[in-house]
Amino acid sequence: MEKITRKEQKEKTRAGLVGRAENLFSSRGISQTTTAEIAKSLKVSHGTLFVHFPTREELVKAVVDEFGERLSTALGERCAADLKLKDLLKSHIDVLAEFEDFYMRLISESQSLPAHIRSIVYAINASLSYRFYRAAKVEMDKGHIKKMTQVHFFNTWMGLLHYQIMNRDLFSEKTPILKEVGDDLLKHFFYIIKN
Amino acid sequence: MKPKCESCNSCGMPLEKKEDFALGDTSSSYCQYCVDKQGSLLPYETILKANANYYQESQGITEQAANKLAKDLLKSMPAWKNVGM
Repeated sequence: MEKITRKEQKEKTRAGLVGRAENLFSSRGISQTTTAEIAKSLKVSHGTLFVHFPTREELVKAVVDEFGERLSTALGERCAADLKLKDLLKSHIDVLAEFEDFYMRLISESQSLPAHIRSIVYAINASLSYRFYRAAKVEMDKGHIKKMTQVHFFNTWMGLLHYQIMNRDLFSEKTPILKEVGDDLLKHFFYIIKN
Repeated sequence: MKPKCESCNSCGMPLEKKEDFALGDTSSSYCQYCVDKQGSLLPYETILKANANYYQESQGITEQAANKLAKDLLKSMPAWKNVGM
């Protein structure tokens, strides 16, 4: 068996803490989950957790960063390949579906999140808005879709997604809801914006 | 686990491609938007305003809310720790 170095072990522990935190934040709520519960469920000491994350906020931030990086990778690569608006929005749905349990907590607890965490979530949204609108402008200039402001474009899209996510228990018995309704939402969004 | 991607020490923007870095220099800790033509970090107030505008224009939130979000974002950045508290 290969020997695991201390550095590798440390990274493994950190990844384990972030993964478990995401699970517990998703199932119990971000503000309802304590660091003691996270440490206990992984059978590590509270001290070990604090070596990696000196404050609870840093652990929440680590999970939000994972989500942000996943989005950035999915959409960044798509941007580099210069794919169309529809592909970008589809990638957005796919990543949200992957993180849906946690994302639902992020949006439902938005107003009670630590200020710094909230600022990161909205910075992620700002970045999405720019990426989507850049691709949308191409379609607008060709006359394929209606001309509208960046704010209207982005907020209409987010409104459609968030309504489904926030009420997902009413729309389907299965989760992630975006896996169930994502294609239909995308189709409907294009129906709304098409010229 | 994949290594954490680098981000600008001033505004937190992910530094994914060469052109994202200040002056295209991949050893820089800052993004292209946070420096002047010589590569020096812009003043705090300039970065704060740019970030607030970014929040405001992208999502239609109020100027006051955008300023608060920008301040909350910058105060944990390595370049602006203990500034603008």
